[in-house]
Amino acid sequence: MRAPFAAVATSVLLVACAKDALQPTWSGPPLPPLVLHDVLAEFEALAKAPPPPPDSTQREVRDLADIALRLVEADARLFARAESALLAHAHAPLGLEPALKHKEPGVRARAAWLCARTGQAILQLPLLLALKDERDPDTVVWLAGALLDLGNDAGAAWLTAAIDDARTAERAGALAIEALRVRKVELPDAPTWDQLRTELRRLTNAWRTTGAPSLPNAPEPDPEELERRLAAHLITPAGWQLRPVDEARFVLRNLGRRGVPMMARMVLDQGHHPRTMPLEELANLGQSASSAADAVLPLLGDTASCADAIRTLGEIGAPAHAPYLRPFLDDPQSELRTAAAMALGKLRDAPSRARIQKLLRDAGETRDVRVAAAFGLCCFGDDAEAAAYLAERAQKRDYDESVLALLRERLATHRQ
Amino acid sequence: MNLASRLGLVAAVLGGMGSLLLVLAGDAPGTARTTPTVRWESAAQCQQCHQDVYDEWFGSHHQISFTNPEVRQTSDDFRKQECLDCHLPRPLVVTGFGKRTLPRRTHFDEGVSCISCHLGPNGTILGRTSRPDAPCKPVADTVFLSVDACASCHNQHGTTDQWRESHYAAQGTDCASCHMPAIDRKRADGSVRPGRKHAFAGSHDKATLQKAGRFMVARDGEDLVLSLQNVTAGHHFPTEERHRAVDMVYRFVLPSGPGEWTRAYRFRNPYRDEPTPINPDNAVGENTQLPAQATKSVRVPIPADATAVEARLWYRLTPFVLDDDPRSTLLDEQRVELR
Repeated sequence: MRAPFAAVATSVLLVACAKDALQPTWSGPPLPPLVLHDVLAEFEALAKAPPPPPDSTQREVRDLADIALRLVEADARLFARAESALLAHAHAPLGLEPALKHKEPGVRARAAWLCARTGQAILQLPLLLALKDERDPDTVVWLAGALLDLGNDAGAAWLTAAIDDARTAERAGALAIEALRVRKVELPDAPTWDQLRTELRRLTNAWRTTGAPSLPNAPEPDPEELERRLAAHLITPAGWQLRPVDEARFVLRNLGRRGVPMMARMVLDQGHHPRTMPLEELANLGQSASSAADAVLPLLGDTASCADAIRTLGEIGAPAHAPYLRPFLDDPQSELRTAAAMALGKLRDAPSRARIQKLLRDAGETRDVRVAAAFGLCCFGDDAEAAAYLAERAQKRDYDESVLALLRERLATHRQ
Repeated sequence: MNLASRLGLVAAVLGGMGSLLLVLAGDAPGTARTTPTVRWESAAQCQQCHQDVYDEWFGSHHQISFTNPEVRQTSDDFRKQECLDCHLPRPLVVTGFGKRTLPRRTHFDEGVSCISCHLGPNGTILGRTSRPDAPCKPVADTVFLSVDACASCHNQHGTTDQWRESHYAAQGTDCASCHMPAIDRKRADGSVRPGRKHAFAGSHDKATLQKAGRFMVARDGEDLVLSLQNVTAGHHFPTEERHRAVDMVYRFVLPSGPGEWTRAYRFRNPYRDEPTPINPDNAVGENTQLPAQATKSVRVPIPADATAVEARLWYRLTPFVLDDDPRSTLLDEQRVELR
C-alpha cells in the first residue's frame, strides 16, 4: 500500500511543480505580429547630410556669423546689417551651430541668442546638444532661453534651476518673464521669484505631459531636416561608442513629441540595441509619447525587448493596452513581473490591483517584485501597506538606496 | 493492480503530462519559455552549492558593478543610461554572446553575476561539463568561457579588439587565462576538480597591474631613458575607460636635494573632446595606451649636477588625481645613481 501512496505523492508534487512553473494560458488579446526589419539601414540612408551649399554661400554665412558673433571688428552699422542678414539667411545654422561650441562662453551665449532669433526651430537640436555639456552658468541660461523662444519648453527646467543660483538669477528671471508673457501667462508687473518658479514648473509639467509647445504659433522645424537629424541620432546605438548614444538620448528626451514618430519606427529594428534605446527614451518621455503605444505593443512578444516594452507602455500611459500587460504579473521571470507591477500601477489598472497586492504580500516573492508591487500600488493612490513596505526597505537598508530614491522621485512626479 | 495502485498510476501519468506540458511550453509572451522547473535568476541560488566561488565573486568589481561609488560618479548615478547595459546586464544569452548587452532592473546588488554568463538557452545552466545529477543540471558548453562572452561588455572600450590584434589571440591565450586563473576546487567528497578563480582581478588589483608592465630606468650617455614595456597584458596598458592612466615620473637628486617630480610620459586614451594632447609630443586626440608587447621609451637630459634619479610608475583610475589619492597606485619605484 505504501508504494502507490508514494507514487501519488510524487505525482502530485510533479504536477504542483509544473503548475508553479507553467503560466496561465495567455489571457490577453492576441498580440499583433512582430515584424522586425532593418530600420537601421533605412535610417542610415536618411541620416546622410544633403549636399552643402556652394562654397560662396558657405563663405558668406561664415563671414556674416563672424561679424554677428563679434569675432571680428566692425562698426555698429555693419554689425547691425550683418546680424539681420544672417538671421534672415536660410543657411544661418552653418554659421551658428559651430559657434555653440566656441571656446569663449560669451560667443556661445551670443550664438544661442542668435539661434533663437533666426526662428529656425530645427536649431532646437544643436541647442539641446550644447545645453547637455555646457558648464558656464550664464551660457546655460541663454541656451535655455533660446530653446523656449523656439517653442521647446524643456528650457523651462533649466531656467528654474538658474533662478535658484545667485550668479544667474537676474538674467534667468528676465528671460523667464519674457518667455511667460509671450505665452500669455498672466504675471504681475513685478513677479516674485516664487511666482516665476511656479509658472516655469507648470510649463515643465505641461511639456512632460504633452510634449507640445505652449508658445503660440511656435515655429515648425523643416520636416526633412528634422527627419535627417533624428535619424542620425537614432542610428548611434549600432556601434560600441557610448557618447553619441548618450547625446542622442538627451536630445530625444528633451525634444517633446517631435521625436516620437521616428522613435516609434526605430523600435522595430532587427537589432536589439538600436530598438531598445528608443524604447527606453519613449518611456522617459512619458505621456507625451503615448502615440507610440501601438508601435510598442508587438514587442511584448520579443524576448529581448519585452521588459522594456512593458515599462514603456506603462510610462507613456496606454490604458487600452493594460489587458496585454496583466498576464506578465504571473510570468516566471521576475524581471517581467517587476516591470508589469510597475507598469500596471502607473496605468492605475483596477483589475490588476488585487494581483499586485498579492505580489506585495507574498513572502516567497523576490524583493525586486515586492518593491515594484509596492511602487505600483502607491501609484493607485494612498496605500499605507505599500508605502510602509517601501519605508521599511529604506529604514533597513536592504534594498538599493538609489533605486528607492528614484522610485520616490517617480512617485512624486506621478502624483502631480 | 488494486485501486490504490491504479490511482497512483493515474497520478503518475498526470504528473508526467504536467512535465510534458512544461517541456512544450512555448515562447508566447507571458508564458513559460523554458523547460526547467527552477528559474535561475540570482547568484544567491548558486551560493547554496558554490559558496567558494560565490565568496570570490562577492566584493569583486563584477559584483559591485552597479553599486560601486566610482561608477556612480562617472555615470552621473546612471543618468547616463547607456552605462547600465554593462553595469547591470541581463544574461548574455538573451542578447547573444559577443553582442552588446541590455540592462535589467532587478538584483541590483549582484551587478555582473553567475547568471550573466552561465545562463544558457531555455533557462539551462552552462558549465564546463554536463552534470545531470547536480541541482542546476549544468550543460557542457564553452561559450561562457569565450572571449566573446567578455566582449559583450569589455569591447565597449575596445579591449577585446585590442586582444584580437595581439599575438595572444593567435596563441589562444584568452581573457580567462589571466583574469580567471586556473585553481583546484574541492568537491564535497574531498576530491579535486579544476576550476577558475572568480575574483576577476584587473585594474583594481596591484599585483595584476604590476605584472602587466616592466618599468626600466637607465642612463644612456647624457640622457636618462625611462621605458615601459607591456609584458603580460593581452590588450593595451592601460585599457578600458578613457580615464585610466599610467604615468612614468622622475625627479633628479641634486646637491641641494631632490627636485620636483616631473611626468615623463602618460599612457592614456584621451576623451573625444579633450583640447590638449596627452603628452606634449602627441597630437590632440592621440591614444597613447601601450599595445600588447610594445615598449615606449622617453629620453630626458640629465642635469650636470644630478647625483641620482628617482623614477616611479603610477597607475591612476582617473587622470585628475595626485599621488596621495587612493585612486593612484604606485606600481614601481627605482633609483639610479648617476655619480
